Amino acid sequence: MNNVRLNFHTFAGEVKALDGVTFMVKKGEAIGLVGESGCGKSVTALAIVGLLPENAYLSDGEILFEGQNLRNISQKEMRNIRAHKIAMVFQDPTTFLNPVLTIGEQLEEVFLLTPDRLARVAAAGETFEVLRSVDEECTETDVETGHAQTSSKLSKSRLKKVARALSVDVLKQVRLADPERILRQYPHELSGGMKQRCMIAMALARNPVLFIADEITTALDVTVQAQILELLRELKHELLGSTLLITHDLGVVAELCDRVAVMYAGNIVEIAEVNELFANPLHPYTQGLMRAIPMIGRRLERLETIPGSVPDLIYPPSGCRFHPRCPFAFEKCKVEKPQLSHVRQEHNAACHLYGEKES
Amino acid sequence: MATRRSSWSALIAELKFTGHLLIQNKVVLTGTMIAAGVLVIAAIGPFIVPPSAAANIETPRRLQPPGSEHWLGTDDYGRDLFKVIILSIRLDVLAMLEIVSAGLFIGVLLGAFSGFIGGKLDEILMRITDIFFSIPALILALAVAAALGRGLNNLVLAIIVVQWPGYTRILRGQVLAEKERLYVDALRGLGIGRFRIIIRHIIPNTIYPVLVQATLDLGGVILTFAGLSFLGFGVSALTPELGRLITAGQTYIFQAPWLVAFPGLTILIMSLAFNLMGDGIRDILDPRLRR
Amino acid sequence: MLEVRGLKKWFPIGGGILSRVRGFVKAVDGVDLEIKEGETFGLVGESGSGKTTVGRCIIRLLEPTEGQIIVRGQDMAKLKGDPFRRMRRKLGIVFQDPYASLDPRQTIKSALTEPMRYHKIVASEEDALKRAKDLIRRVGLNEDHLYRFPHEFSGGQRQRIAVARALTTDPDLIILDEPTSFLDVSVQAQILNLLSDLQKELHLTYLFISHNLSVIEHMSNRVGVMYLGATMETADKEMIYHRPEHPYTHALISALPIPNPALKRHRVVLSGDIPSPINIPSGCRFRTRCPHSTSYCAEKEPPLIARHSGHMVSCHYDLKLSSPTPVTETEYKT
Repeated sequence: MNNVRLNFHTFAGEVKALDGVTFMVKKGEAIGLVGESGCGKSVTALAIVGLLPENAYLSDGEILFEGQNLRNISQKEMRNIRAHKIAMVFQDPTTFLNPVLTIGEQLEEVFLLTPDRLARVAAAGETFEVLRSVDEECTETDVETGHAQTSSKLSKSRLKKVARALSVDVLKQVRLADPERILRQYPHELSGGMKQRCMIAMALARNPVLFIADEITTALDVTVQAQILELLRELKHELLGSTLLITHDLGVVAELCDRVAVMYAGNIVEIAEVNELFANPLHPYTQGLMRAIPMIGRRLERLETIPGSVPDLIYPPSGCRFHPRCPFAFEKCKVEKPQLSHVRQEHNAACHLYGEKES
Repeated sequence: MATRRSSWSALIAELKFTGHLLIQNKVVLTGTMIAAGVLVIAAIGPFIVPPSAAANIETPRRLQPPGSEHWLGTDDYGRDLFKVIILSIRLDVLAMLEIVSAGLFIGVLLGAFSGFIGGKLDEILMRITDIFFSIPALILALAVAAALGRGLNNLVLAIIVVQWPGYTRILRGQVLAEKERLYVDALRGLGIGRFRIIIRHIIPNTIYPVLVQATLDLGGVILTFAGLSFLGFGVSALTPELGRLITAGQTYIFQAPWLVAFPGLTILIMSLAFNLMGDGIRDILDPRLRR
Repeated sequence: MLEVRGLKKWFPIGGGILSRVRGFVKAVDGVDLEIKEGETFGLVGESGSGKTTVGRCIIRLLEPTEGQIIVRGQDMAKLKGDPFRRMRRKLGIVFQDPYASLDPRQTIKSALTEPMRYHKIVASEEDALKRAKDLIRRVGLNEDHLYRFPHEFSGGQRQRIAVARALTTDPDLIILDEPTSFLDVSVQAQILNLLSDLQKELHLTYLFISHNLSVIEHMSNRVGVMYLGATMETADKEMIYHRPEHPYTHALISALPIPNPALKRHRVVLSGDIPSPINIPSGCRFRTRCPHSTSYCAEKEPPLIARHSGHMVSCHYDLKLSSPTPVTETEYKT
């Protein structure tokens, strides 16, 4: 994402939700997007996938996915990308899953979105492994025009059978016991953890290039969260492609991510390799955040707090949006907005304390 | 949410939104303006038209068609129809307001306590309202009015009897939901008694839909009141009241059709106006209700 | 200061005039607690553990099915009327959801003075206002905030108001039911600090209910771990977090993701999901997920007994479990 500016048009005014967000997700890496509520992390994800509400508009910047600018493409192309390349999973599986359809029906629906792949899989053997190799061989044009060519050769019921076999297989991938039974069940019959696994399965079904997870462990109990984190760790490199993990929990980030980006009030204020970030947080906000989290074993009487509160994004502070709360703020901070720049190896921060060196 | 902005700017934003909705529907706007006009007439009626216009009988002038001297003609008693109608509007509007507000008062209190406290009291009250609902309102009002006998107050009472169960039901539904809300627990946790919680907290927070329903009912109540007056209940012959005027005018329907037409038209316009206003209010408040 | 003995809260399923009772949701199924004056007792558990229900039973928002709630020597569980109202004032409660716990149509001033006037704690309107001003300042807000409505405040500010409100009846014990779960990390820190400060200033006792293990560790002196309606382990904070003796506690602590990628530790991942409180497993209720369960565990429910100096455990076996938290700690430069 390059310098993305996103506003929401409301009756109360323009909410400047994203103010020049710039970051990169490399192939095969897991990057965490951390921040508190209202910082714009979910909005960033929705912007990538093109699921923003009507009153949102990108005023500037570009979102480049595999070289293509997602701002310029048509709805149809975007849908295609969502079907094949980018999968997003949300926080609350209860609202995400359709309560009147069984898990099986919903999973099959995902597979049936791409009948061309199914056709190829049908020929080669109906397992998830085969699906993956089919996808690897697949080219761009195949994805776009695939429908007409191969799917017409297979009947609907045949496609459904293939989809079903793949559904069973993908549920096994997310370590769900007795997948055939689960396919027949409705969402309300499953526990929170199982629903989350189903959601992850639905994402896996697309064999995505980019997997976006928006606070997927926040609504779960600690022990269930542990299970999901284990699962994600196992799936991370082999199956999920690149992962964009959005969360407010620094613990989750420490467990799963290779790189971390910290967001505040619509900006990325720091981005670094994970060990580096925790060892040497540079931006005052990151430092404040880490000090404010109670951690087991740290014997403190009081937690250190960041004074003040998150700013109103309709009338954001001038210059650096964090300056009213920053213990190190000086004149320049009120006037000029700091850009993300290279400070250390694999570590960029947007703060005037570190001077401006080109990254 | 930031607190730096004053609550005024938030209010202005809300008003802009509301105004936006109101202006959208021209029909509703028209209805509201007519309703407002009716209320004004009701208020100032006796000051612009002397009550004597309804009391004095001047036989030589009877049954004159609409003309320059008497804009809507004269009736059987020689009264200027226009002036009599102006005076009647006041009576009908007052009756309408009395009926609806009394119905609201009874309905809200019963619904709130019944819904909040629940148990046997609630069950019994629900069965009672069921009984009321099982009989068509107009017929029930008629029966009660007949039982109570003639007179304006008796008629008003009869219609109140029919009005309150609806409000009780609506409010009780709202209260059942509201009493599960967290702030109610907080108040109970502080040891605050149920009576106080119901009166000071539950009712103000749940009364919106009932108020909306009440404004929607205004039009219907006018019809019921005028209708039953027409049938002979309520006021006596000479008292200026729209339904009564029609009763009197029936006899002369072919000779002097204006005697029936104009009062009828007035009832229609009043009822329609309040109905439209009620619709508009409901449309505006509805999205807010869902908050 | 507070002692809970054998607390049970069962919710009937079905029942009413026409249908018979088909079963029970055993939200709380035999809980024992002891909270000393001036301390903070942390009650931890996941969903379905019954911890919130325990809090609600203590303050009598729910009527306990069974059990005793002994506040300063007096059993409150079945009290009614005036003596009950007087006891009630000694307890306060702060809820989880700051957006729902205040009447949206009530000004803050009214919200604070109402309990004072109701319980006749103050003699006049002026006294009530004075106290309200004092309380609102104590929780870190301004006097002119009194004249505003709840929706004008942020989540953190609303929780401050909720704390002020709980203090209006001058309570000795405050039940904090997940007070920071809905708040951001930085706001949470402010509220937790406020609570610590108030505890020292006003000599308060806290029952801190949460599913957040880090927060509990920071705030509590003693900790009780609940699972499926019963207490599994109760001990001093140090013991619970570094030398737990119940396998559930062990798994719970080790499940917590640590915000330090440099630390590695062995994590116990429990299999399966939390059973429903309608069908609690026979014998030890944790056995279906316990990596150490035996057939004896299915037969008999282990009682909660003290093993050594205040450390109570509900388990048949004396398992020598490893420490669930990392032994070495790296200091960050912050």
